[in-house]
Amino acid sequence: MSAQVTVRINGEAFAAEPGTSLASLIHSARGAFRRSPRLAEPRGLFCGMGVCFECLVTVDGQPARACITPVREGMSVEVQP
Amino acid sequence: MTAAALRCDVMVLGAGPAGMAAAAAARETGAEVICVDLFATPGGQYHMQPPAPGGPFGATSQVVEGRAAEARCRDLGVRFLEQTEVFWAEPGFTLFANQAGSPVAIRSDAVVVASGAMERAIPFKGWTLPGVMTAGGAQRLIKASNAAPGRNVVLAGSGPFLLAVANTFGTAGLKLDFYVEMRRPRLSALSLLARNPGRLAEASKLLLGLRRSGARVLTGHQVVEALGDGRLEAVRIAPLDAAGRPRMQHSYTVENIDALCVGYGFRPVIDVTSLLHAAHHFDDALGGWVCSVDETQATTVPGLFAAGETTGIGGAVPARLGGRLAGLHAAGFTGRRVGEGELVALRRQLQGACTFAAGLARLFPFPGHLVEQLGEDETVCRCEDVKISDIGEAIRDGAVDAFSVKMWTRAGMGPCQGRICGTALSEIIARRLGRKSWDMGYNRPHMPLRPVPLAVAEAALGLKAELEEG
Repeated sequence: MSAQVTVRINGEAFAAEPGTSLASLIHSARGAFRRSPRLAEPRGLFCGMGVCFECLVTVDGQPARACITPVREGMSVEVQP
Repeated sequence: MTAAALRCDVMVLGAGPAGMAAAAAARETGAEVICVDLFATPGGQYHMQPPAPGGPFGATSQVVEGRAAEARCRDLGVRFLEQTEVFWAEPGFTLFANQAGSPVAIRSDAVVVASGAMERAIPFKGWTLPGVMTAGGAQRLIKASNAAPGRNVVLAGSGPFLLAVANTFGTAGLKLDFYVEMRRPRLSALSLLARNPGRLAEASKLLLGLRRSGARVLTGHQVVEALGDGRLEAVRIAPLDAAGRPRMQHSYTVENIDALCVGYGFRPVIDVTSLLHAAHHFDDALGGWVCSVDETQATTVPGLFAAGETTGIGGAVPARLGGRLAGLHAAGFTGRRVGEGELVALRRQLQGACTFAAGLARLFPFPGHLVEQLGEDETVCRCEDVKISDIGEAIRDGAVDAFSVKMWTRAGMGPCQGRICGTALSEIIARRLGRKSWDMGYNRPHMPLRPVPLAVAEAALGLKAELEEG
């Protein structure tokens, strides 16, 4: 296994394997990615391939679909509580 | 943010089996080719690559062939634009894209759309709970990120892809608790495979993978409900009667399930082809709305070609053949010389591959009737939290198709633009109105096709003038 990268999710540090998706990290670390707009229900990874936007998070201040975002050293991620 | 205004002869949208075959074929004739793809690594879903060399999938034919196809394209001089998403297109052709936050505009004489497929999702009770995901999403977690969808997993739905995902679990050494296929095995499956001996070996390999996953296999069953408080905790499974209806009095709950992966097949990605006004038609066995092409893979728009799942769900074999045909004809359209002999041979092979795909599709007809099981409180449009009751109200108020229901309720208006709920939405409205789902229309493409930061969109569209001067 290659050297791990460190990603911060809501300030907390997590180790991840380089080349993997941010979605895989959030899925195993916390399960829920966001809340739905009207009912504020928790939502998790759904399509996993960039179509559904259920894994929308904020990466270094920009909105991003976690499923098509590879992890990167020093990445700072905000996920809706 | 560095802006790029690019030109080429043939622009290929998508770097899956069809896209890479089209790109290589066009480049072989001397055409300049740019191939655009959403993901960080070419290959699409079929040839998806592991995060690092080796691992349980490193030596599989899907991974090895994908790497070979990419290497061949690069050797030929195909230019790949990875992590690039097209958000607008104009006739003639100019495509506008977002490359990981940087604006791109590409001018080309011909375009091959090989943008693949997306899940043909059907809502069910509890499907919005975290832990419920598509079968394709689960496969991507395992193959591209070495991640397990859950500790106790149920794989449910219908069709040959479900078996491929079970094999993915087995190959990765991951345990599956249940494999729930709504159709019962039929003799016609065996006769189809007997006529296609090459595919028999493939099917046996997939069945072996299913066995290795350790799953309890249930055919003629359906997962009717996902249960949990804030996340998936259990699933409810019911046997189906002869008419395909769940026998709820015989249903039971399986506790301690943290991942439910559901797949009923795929639908073509047709946003760019419909934006450019190519003709489309509805074919349930091919995934619903598909881009119509002739025997040269040409759409009804001169210079616009399509291949692979965009032209109907059929898998990697017809995708590669159709992709190569499309690439050659697109190059021909830009004035390159193309040998007639190969075109004839490719067309014949493609016909054979499509016949097999059609036979397989007939074994697993799309279960659109499942939407009739939805209760009034179930969410249909996940982006905008639109429930069955909202849709019913819109219809009572006079909505008559998918477009008017969207105007009334916002269903299909969110970031996914109806890509997830569109199939179910049409089924629901049609069934309530006593009409056919294809009469409900499909979500029209709007600017932007995919969400894009305003500054990136503005900068990309601004590159058009630059491309017109040169």
